Amino acid sequence: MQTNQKRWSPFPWLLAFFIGGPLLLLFVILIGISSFFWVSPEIRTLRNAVLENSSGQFHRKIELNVGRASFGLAKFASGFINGIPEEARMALSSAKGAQVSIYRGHGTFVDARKLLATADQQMEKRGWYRLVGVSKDDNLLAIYTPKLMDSANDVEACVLVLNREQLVCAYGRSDLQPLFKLAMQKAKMEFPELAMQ
Amino acid sequence: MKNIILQSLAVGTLCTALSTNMLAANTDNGAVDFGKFSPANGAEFVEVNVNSNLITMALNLAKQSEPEVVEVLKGLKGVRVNVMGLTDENREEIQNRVTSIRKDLDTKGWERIVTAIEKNNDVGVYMKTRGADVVEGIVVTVMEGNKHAVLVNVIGDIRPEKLATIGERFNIEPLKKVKVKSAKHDEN
Repeated sequence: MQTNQKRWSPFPWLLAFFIGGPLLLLFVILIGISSFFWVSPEIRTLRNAVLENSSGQFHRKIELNVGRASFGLAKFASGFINGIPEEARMALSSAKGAQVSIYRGHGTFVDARKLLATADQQMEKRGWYRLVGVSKDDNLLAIYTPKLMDSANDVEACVLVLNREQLVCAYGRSDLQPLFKLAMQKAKMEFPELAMQ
Repeated sequence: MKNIILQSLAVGTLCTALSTNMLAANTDNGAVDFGKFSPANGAEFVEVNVNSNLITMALNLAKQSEPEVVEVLKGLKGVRVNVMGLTDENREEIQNRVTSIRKDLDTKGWERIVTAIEKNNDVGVYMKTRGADVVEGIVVTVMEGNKHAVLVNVIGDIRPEKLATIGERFNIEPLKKVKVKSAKHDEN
């Protein structure tokens, strides 16, 4: 009597494991590497606001994104290295993410009034508001934070710095609690009158 | 039947009055809308806008280890600072706006607690109070001749003499320089 049942063979599974596995790993590594060069929409919004409201051309120098995993890895590695200052360890352990985008302009003129108006409007749509805006001559600084941020354990901020022809947009996410404690300790060591208050 | 209608009307009126009162208590009466300012070409421009969420965050951050910081921030709901450098382009507009803001404050129940005019500098400090003790907001307007205009609005229960301390804590330069002694509070 003949049966239609085929014998189970591990070959296709092994093939999938040995070919598909490395491909998947390669894919994950590629995504991981490319994520270092992919900045958040907030950074892109600020950068685009500058590019849209300037004459001349800006050229990208670098765009970098260091996420929570990378900071975790750095924190883990720092445990095996002696001689790292306590402040650096604390900064590493409290950091949750950092991104930076640096551009250099050539013959650029930026309209600060239009730039701030555009950036404010676009960031507002994303739920961010401008905490600080400073402008003088060719220099401009703007700091944005989320409107609803009220926990010191998870603080986010975006900074736009335009210094003549140098444009820097940066994003940081961190737990401020340990940094605040450290800063107050240092301040009291430096200025004993603070401790006496 | 008539009694029921009258009672319902009375309850309705009471509820409306209470909810209106509660809403009024929740709104920031000490907040003043200065309007939007934008930098003029070549002129100095500083804008700081600290909202209540950030203040709550700072309070949470400081409450365990820094009671003196908590003491300063307690009761604060917001801080807004505008510093505008004056140029030929914006001088008239800014001066008109500051004059209009001062007029508005005078008519809207703000008490002018300091007026100082010296040479080209013109400083006005206004305070809005609720009852005898509660300060709802403070506004400082400064016209530094033809060079700068400064507008400050501190929202919340804050004593005028603590303005400089707030300036120092938040690193807001124009506030650091404001030295106000409130006769009203000194008496209390």
